[in-house]
Amino acid sequence: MKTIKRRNFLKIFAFIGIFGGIACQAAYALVKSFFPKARYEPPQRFKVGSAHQFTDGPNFLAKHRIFVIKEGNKFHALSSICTHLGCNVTFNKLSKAKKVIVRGKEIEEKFEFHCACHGSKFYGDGTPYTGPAPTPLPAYEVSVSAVDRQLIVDKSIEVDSSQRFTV
Amino acid sequence: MGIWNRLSNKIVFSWDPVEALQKKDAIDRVFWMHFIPTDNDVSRESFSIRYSLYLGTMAAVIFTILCATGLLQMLRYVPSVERAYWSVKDLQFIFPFGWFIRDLHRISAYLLIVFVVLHLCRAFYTGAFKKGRRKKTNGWINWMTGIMLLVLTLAMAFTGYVLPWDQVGYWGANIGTNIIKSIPIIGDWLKYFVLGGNELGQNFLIRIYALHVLLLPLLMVLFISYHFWRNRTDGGMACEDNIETDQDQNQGQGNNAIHAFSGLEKDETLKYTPMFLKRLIWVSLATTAFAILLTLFVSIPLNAPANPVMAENPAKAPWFLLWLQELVASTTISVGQYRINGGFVGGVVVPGLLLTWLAWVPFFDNSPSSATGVWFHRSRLRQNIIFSVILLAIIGLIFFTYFCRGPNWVFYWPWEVWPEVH
Repeated sequence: MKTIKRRNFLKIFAFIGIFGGIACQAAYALVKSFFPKARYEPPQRFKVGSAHQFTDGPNFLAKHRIFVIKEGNKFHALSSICTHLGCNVTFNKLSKAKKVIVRGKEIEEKFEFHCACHGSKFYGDGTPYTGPAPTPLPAYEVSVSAVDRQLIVDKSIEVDSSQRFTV
Repeated sequence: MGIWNRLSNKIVFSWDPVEALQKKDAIDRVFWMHFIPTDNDVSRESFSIRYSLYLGTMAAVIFTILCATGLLQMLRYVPSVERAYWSVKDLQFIFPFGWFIRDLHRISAYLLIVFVVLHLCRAFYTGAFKKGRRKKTNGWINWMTGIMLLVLTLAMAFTGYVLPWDQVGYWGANIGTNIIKSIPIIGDWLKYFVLGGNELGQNFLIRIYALHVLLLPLLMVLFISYHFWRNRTDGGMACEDNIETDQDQNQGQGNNAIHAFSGLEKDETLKYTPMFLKRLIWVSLATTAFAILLTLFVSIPLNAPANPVMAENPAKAPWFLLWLQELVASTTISVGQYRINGGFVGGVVVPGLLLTWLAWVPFFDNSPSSATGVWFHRSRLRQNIIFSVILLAIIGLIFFTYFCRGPNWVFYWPWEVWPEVH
């Protein structure tokens, strides 16, 4: 068996330790330098306006890329970003309401969401039924501001698409 | 000796050597000759148009045009989200002949892709990646370098069309980065790393800009240089009459056998070198003229400025990515209750497999060494068929997507009129 002297072992150990450490630091700093500490992007939680400003059905908010959907006094918010590859879906009003079965439940829908890029189509509650989109459009939490009674949407909190916020 | 001969001799040779040693010296003295295989190593067949079609030369010339026009564009372009589009518009309409620079750059980029792919086909169909019977040759190294150059070409093309920050570029970048995101486990992190944020913005544009104008071209120059040098070291093209017949005919004839070439006298080889250079110059001039003529007759429209809210309908990628777009749009698959995003299957797995297959071909090639450098050798029939089928499928997908996909990615016959959408 080949033996290695203690002195040589320590030499190699120190060499790898010092220069390897320097290299790792450099690599860490290099990768880290690509991640900004602040992002000049719209906030994830924002006010979208008073309840009475919305019309029945989906209201597209271009700045935040969400739909705020009003059904009487009930509100929910859906993302407008297609879950396939991130294009913007548009909402299409159906000329007459149709009944569809989503996850075992029959719902009546008055509008659908279509994606122009690769042809995905979603039911009114965000469930994809044709095209390449793999998952439903995420629904975001809706709440109301205690100060000026404006609706607040929080894109960092995903909720079930059947959840409604009643004003 | 005509005027052209005298002129070309001035460029390439200071004298016309007779002795072999002088010939080598002549090559060493002229810089351009370093791109060309050395004395006595290369046969006439290696320079013949019908063997190599000079496609690699054409691609190299086009790359030079791209560098020149790209440099001129760098003087006008502003890599900022707010101003990028308008600086490209200024280049097109305000600067005299700016349209020419931009169109020539765009046309050359298209031509580069075409020539690189054709060059790949040539190398595949002739079996140029094979070792052959020569001892020093490693054809597969140049084959790998070529695959790297293909990837770099496509990366350059992709980063290039993002830069104007118009509708096609913006949504192309959006889809491209979401393909990254669709990679399992590391996807989200990788997308954040590439974007420098959660949304397409300044951080992303400036990164793409640096890649497109500095890093990728630098890599490209390095790989092209190596590609040339490797070819020279390998003793020119891997073609039929350039293969050492050390085993077959000259076995046991001693020292002579090493330098023997089939069907060629030893001293016949260098005589073709000035002829080859002249041919190179002709090919370069013809390629440049072709690109310029195309630029004059084909205009490249500028799209609408980027609109982060609404993509065009249909939102089609540039032609060289259309086959990928069709793949990502149709390969979402369900495994049990899980659905795998088509972006991952069509955008990462399929191209990755294709590239891996290309890279592995030299190692799984069992055809005899006499099949090296022969167009469509019978022993390579099966590989050639597989390659052709893949190539035709990609070209077919491009044409299908270009002509048959309408608004909302619905199928239409080419003669059908698309309905009005928003």
